[in-house]
Amino acid sequence: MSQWSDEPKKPGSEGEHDIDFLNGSSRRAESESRPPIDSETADYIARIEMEIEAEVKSKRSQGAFPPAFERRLKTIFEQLVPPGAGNSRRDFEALLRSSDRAAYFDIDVPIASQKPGVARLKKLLRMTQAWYLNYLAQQLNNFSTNLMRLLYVFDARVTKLEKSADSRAEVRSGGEFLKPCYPDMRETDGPVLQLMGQHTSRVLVADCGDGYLVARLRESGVDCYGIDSFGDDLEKPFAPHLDLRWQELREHFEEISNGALSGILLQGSIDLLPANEKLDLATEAGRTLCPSGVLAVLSIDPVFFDSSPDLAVQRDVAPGRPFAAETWQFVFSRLGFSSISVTKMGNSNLISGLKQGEHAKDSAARP
Amino acid sequence: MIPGSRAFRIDQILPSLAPRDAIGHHTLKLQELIRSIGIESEIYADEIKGELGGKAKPFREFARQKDSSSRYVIYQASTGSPIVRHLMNRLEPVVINFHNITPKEILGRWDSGVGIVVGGGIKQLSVLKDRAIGAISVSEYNRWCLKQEGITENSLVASPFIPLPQQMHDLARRHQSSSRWLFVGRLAPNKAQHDIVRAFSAYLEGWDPSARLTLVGSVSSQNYADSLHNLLDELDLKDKVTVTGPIDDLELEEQYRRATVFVCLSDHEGFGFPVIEALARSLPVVAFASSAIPETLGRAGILLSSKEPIHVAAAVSLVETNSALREQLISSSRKTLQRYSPEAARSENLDALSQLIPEMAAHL
Repeated sequence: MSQWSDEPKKPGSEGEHDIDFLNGSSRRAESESRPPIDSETADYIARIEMEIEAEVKSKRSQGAFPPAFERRLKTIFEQLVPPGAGNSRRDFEALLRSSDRAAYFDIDVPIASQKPGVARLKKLLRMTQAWYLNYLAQQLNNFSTNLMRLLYVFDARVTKLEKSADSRAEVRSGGEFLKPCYPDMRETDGPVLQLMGQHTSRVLVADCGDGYLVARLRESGVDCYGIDSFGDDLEKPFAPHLDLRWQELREHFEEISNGALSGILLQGSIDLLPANEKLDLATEAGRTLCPSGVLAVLSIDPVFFDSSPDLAVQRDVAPGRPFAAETWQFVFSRLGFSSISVTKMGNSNLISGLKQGEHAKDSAARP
Repeated sequence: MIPGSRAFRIDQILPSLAPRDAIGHHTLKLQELIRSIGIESEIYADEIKGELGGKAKPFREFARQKDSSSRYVIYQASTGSPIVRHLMNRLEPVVINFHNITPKEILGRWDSGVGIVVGGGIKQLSVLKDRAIGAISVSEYNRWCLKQEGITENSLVASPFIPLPQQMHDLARRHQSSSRWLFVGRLAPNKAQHDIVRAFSAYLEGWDPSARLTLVGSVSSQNYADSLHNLLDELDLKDKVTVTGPIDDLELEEQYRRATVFVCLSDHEGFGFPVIEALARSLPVVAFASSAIPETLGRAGILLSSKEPIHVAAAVSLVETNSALREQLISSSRKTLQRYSPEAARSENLDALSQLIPEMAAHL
């Protein structure tokens, strides 16, 4: 009867993720706690998923879905759930309020009854037990009041921390200012095309803007798509039928299987992220690349960033500053990349490296 | 206290016995099975719904009876219930028939009251384990869940009794000019109908603008149902998606007949009865590989590792357009249905019960 292993992997063990109910659509089935699937069924799933992915890719390359389509589907339900059911600030506040309301223990038990005399009996019981229950309730109310106060203080402190750590607004405004500092790809796309053009399988261009590079790479026969965290440029794509998506890079990486991509170009807002976020994204990029896949980072030269009078605001408000080419080389090396090189492009550096070693490619590669 | 060699009985206890309910059906069939081998058996339920009044007795009758050394109790566990507290104070040996309990993390955020009940149900399992002589789970997944609660001794698996039609329906009768998605299950957060709607929206956008979706099932969480209806409004899908509410067997049969694909994106299923019901009607199944679904469905349907809307929609399009794949699925589903036939359920449950209750040997 049993086709399952007797020693299933425990929930939360390596390779598993928490269930994100509202955004479950972006998560994978392995994330839920259950025994591992037997190998035959796993092979079956993998085989079918390859066909599904081919179908998805084909539709995307026809431009069947507007850039904001998935983003809208993903976020829309979150906005519709009743207060307290989601994960947003609004839900947190609703839960805090309802907890506060429930945090008072009342000893005045209702005594109404339809049976004759029972109400009087209940009243008598309530009166005789009041001294005892009141003693307990006072302690509970003291505890719950302090606990709620603690939660409010904790919330205030976390909110303050979040505010100081939140880099999104700064990165967003900073990114706009940074644009002119990058080389104009329409004039100097040669080095990028040369790097990525050797890969005919899946290539991701992050912060793709209007999709110029995506279009150029596709002209070269590269299976290329782009994502951008700001939707404005995506609305006016450089060419029709491009696979462009309005999505945050971090979220996108969460959806990609190990070894699914053969090339990744990181650029733009990554320059203004804090160092730890840059490193996280680079690590994720390494995970999603297949062996011999190429990772490239187009980054503003920090000397220029530190000295340009046009970037005074970014220097002051951005949570991070661009890494030096040497730092990127160090990061690439630590991530196990080989053939690391740096190409100067105007005020920017194009750092690239090849993924080394055998990385277990997921059976159903899904970018 | 172990019953002696004199005549003994096996009674079943459950919180609620309802018509057209998977656990209710299983309980009634199990009673039939036990009685068929000459053992007395009654069903006691805290709540008896609809036309099942004559099939079971109120639990309070059981509670009034004295402990009996010649009685075993099968507790049908699927939620928290005060029944368990009562069982803990009695001496009859208990067998847990486990149908799984939806995690409170999924339900509690929508309805804290429900969260408390299901959370209590899990806690009750760990209490009940000291009184139980063994457990019978309806899936390996459920057995694994019991193991997480420390119930490992005499933990067995036996297929549930599933109400299936005598024969698989003829696929040709269901020809439709456009895709018709169907899901059958309570409107509840763990059933994730909102994910089906999102995937359906992707299907309309990328594949078939004339497709239709029908969601069958009663409302289990009003908060969730309200949000689902709001989602349909926001996506402007009211004319493409039908939410039927509870329907009778004839109507349900009609829905199965009209549908071209059954889509299940549940985050948690202890077994997944409707998936098997769909297979029995030659309806191809596309399902998210969560909880017990991979085990229940096996290779008789498309199992998905992701619920991304476009991914699900692409899977449905494969089923709708690839006739060879469709045929293959239908063929595989015959094997799966054999695994869950009434004969298989009868044999497995009898085998499991006789392992836990030695006195049954004399009746086999």
